[in-house]
Amino acid sequence: MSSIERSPWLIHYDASSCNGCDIEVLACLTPVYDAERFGCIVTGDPKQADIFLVTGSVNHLNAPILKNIYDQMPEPKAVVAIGACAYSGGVFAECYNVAGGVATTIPVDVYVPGCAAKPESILDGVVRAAMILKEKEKAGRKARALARKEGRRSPKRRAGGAT
Amino acid sequence: MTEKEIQTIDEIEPGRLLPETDALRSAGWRLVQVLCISSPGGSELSYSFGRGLAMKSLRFRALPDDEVPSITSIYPAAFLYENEIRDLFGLRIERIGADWLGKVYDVASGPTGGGGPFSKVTITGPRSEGGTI
Amino acid sequence: MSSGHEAREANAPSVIPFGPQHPVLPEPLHFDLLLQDEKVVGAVPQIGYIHRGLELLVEKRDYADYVHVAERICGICSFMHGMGYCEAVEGLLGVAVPDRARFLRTFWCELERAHSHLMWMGLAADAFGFESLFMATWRARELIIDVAEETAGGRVIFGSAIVGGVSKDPSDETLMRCMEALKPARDDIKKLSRVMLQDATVRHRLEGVGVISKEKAYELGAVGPMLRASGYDFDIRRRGYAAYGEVGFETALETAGDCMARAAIRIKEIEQSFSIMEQVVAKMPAGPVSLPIKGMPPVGECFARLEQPRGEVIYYVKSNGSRNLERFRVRTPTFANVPAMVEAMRGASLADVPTIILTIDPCISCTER
Repeated sequence: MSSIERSPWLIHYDASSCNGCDIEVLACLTPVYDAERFGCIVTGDPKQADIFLVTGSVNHLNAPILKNIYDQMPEPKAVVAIGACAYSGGVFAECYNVAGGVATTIPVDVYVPGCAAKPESILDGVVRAAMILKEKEKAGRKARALARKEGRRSPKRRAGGAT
Repeated sequence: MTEKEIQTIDEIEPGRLLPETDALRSAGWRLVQVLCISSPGGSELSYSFGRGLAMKSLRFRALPDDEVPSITSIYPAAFLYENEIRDLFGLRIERIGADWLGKVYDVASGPTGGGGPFSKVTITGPRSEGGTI
Repeated sequence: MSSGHEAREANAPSVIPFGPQHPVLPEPLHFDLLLQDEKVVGAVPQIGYIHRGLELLVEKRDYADYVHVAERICGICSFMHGMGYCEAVEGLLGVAVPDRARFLRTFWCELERAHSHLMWMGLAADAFGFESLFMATWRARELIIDVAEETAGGRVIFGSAIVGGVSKDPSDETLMRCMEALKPARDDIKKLSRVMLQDATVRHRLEGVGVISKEKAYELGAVGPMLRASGYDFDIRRRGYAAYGEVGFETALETAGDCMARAAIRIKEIEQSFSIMEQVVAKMPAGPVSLPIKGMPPVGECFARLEQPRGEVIYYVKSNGSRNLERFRVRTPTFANVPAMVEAMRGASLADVPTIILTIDPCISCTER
C-alpha cells in the first residue's frame, strides 16, 4: 500500500542561492502556505527524506555535498529544483564560480520557475514531486515482483549510489 | 549623497602602510574594509578606516611581484579581508595572523588557476569564462 | 586559528565539523570547532559554498542593468543592496534623486528591516527548539510581505530600485491602507516579543551566552545589532541618507553583549521600523519618483554606506567612463561580523554554538557574494 505521496518528508539544501528562494521555501512551511497540510515534514536527515528541495546553482565546492545528500536518500526519491538559478544559474550564469543548474550534478524531477520562486509555485512543485514519488514507488514494486517471479534476488529498496 | 568625509583617500608609499595604520589605530579608528583593484600594471589597495560616521582610506599601488605586509598584527580582524584578497587576486600578503591557505573561497581549482579570478595582472590567457568548472 | 598548543595527546582538542548542511542553518556554512570536552576553544570557519563571483559580473553588464544582480547579492536585504548600488552610482553621476523617491526608498528599507528581523526571530526560535514561536512570527511576517508585494511588486526581491530613483510609485492612499494593514502584525509582534524576551526557556538559552564586550566588538569591526548589543552607539542611518535625516528615531542600545541583548535590539528595531514607516507615509512628498539618466557614468569612484538589518554595508564603484563599470565591491555586514562571532563562540559550550551563530543573524550569501 503506497502512502508515500501522502506524507513525503522534505530536505532542503541551499546550493548557491541568494536566499530569496530559501526564505520562500521556509515560508511554504509556515502557517500561511503550510506545506504540512500535504503531510510534509522538514527533516535535516537525508536518510529520512523523500523529496529533495534544492535552491541555487552548483559550483565545484557544493556539487559533492549535493551528490552526497542525494545518494543518502532512500528510493524512491524526487528532486525539486527551485528557482532560475537551480535551472541554469539564472542571473549568475555567467559568473566564474557557477557551473550551471542542479541537473549538472543530480537528476531533477521537477523545476519550479521564478526568481525568486513564489511559495504557491513551490507548493505546486512539492505536490507534483509527491505524485512522481507515487509513480516511482509503483514502478519499484513492479520490478521487485517481477524479480521474485523470475527467482532473482530482488533489487534493493534502498539504492546505495544512484548514477 | 555627497558626503565629503566618506571620500577622503590618502595616497601613501607602500612601505608606510604599517606605521600609518598604527597611527590611525592609536587615534581610535577601526578597520572597516580592504579593497583591491587589479589592473595589468599591478594592484591598487585601499584600506578604509572608520571612526564614528567618518571614513577614510589609505591607498597605495603594489606591483605584480610586490609582497604586501599583513596588518593583522595591528587589526586582527583584517585576516578575513587579506585572505580574501589573496585568494581572489593572487596577491602575496605576508604573515597573515590567521592564514587559511587559500581556503576562504577555495576557487583555486576554478578556471583561471594561479592568479585568482579577479586578477588582471597576468595577461597570458583568456579571462574566466562562466560555466567551465 | 589555533596556534600550536603543547597539550598532551589526551588533552588535545577534538575537532567537530559543523555544517555545511545543518538543520539550524538555512544556508551552508562550515565550521571546524575545536573542543576541549564540551567547551569550544576555537572555531575555524570555512566559506565558499555560495561564492558566485558576482562582483566581476559588473564588467559584463550595463551599469543600469546591474541593479538586478546587486539585488540578488542577498534575497533578504535585496532592496537595500539594489538601493546601495544605485546610491553609489548616483554619487558617481552626481545626481540627487527626487524627494518622493527618497521617501519611498526609506519606506521599503524599513519594510525590509522589519521582515528581516522577524525572519531572524523565527529562525532563532527554531534554533533553540521553540517551534510554535517560529510559526507565529512567520505568520506575522507574511502581513509585511503582503505589503511589500502590493507596493513594490515582489515578495522578497522587491525589484523597485533603479538608478535615478525607484520604478514603482504606490499612491498615498495605498501606502496609508498598507500601514492600516500592518496594524495586526504590529499587535502580534508585541505579543511575540514578550514571549521572546520574558519566557523562562528562551532566557535560559540566551542570557549570558556568547558575550562580547563593547571594546572587543568595536575592535573586531562588528557592526549593526552585534555592536549595538554591546553598548556601542553606531548606526549609519544617522548619516541621513535617503529620508533618514527627516524622520526621528532612537538608536536601540543594550549593554549586556550576549545573545539576549542581540535579540532585544532586533525586537526594538522592528517597532522602530514601523514608526519610521508611519512618519515616512505621513510626510510623503508629491512629485516624480525617478530622474531620467542618460549617458555614461564619468570616470571616477564612489563609496556608499547604508545600514542594513545586519549592520553597515559599504559599496564601492569605480568607472572608467564606459557603459560597464570597472569595479564593484560590497563589504557586507556579516563579513564584518565574522571575527566577532568567532570570538563570541570561544568558551561557549557546543550546544550553544547554533544559538550564537544565529544571533549574529548571518547572511552567508551576502558574505560570499
